[in-house]
Amino acid sequence: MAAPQQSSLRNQLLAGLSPKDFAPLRPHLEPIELDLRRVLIEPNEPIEHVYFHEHGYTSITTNGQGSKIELGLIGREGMVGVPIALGVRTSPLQFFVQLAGDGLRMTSHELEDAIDERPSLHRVLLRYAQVMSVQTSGTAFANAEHTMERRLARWLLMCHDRVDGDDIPITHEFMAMMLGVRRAGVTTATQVLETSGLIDAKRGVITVLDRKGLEEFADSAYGLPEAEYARQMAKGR
Amino acid sequence: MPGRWRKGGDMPRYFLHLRFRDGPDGLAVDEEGDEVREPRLRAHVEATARDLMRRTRLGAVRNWRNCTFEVKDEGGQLVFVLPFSELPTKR
Repeated sequence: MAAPQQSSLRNQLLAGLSPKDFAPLRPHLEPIELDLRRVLIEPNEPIEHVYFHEHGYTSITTNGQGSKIELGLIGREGMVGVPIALGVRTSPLQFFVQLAGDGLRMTSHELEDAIDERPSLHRVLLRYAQVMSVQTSGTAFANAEHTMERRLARWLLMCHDRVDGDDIPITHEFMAMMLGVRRAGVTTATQVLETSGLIDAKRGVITVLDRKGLEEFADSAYGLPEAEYARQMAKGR
Repeated sequence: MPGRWRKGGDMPRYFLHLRFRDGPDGLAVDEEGDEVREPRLRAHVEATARDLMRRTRLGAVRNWRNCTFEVKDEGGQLVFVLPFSELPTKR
């Protein structure tokens, strides 16, 4: 398989790099299928590869002792393996594919070498790390401040940002686990959003009907990390 | 963890529909259900209700004690109804 052309990539982090920063990554990027629930990074295990989603997305969760709850979401806007850019080889968190798709990966060593070679590449990845930190803060804020309905709206918007079209394949059981609530709590919140005409919920799939309305509903639960991404990642191409 | 998503098995499945207000929009229909053995069913539903009351903040629910679980089996038959108000106040 030939090394990918930058212009044909859907991953926005890679596509947004300057050609000079992309060049040292290109020969190492290997296409990979990202199957549902595949664990990309195990807690406290060496991070062998970093991953760039082209389709689908990955959840960052607590490591599953007792209850498991979602802390962050990484899709085609980002990279799974931020600790490597921060000089760390492990994470206490788990990263697993929540929506199946595909992407590119390279070894952590190769990324470290590229970072050493290109400080400007490192700066882009550090800015992305900052955006992820803001996203996690946003999760903490939403969990502490907002109702289940708004938390669900935020989460659906984050998924919607990372899928093609308006359908988000997801079960209530899984949503309940990600949001740290009994399934009936998610089902009720879903019902409220559906009654408001913002989404359509069928078994195993939620369709976003009114994106703008959903953003208004989510209010301050959604938008801060997304604005930070736009601000930080537009810099220093 | 992956087992939680797996289908089938010989465990019966029960559906916990949540009545949180009057009218057709006031019933949160559970389409997925929980696999529970019948003798454990009531304890499971009560634990679920208690956990909701204790930890879940829903804009649509002013008072959890006005809510009711309508528990149905796979054939759609009502097994029992659990008004949250019938749960002991302390856990």
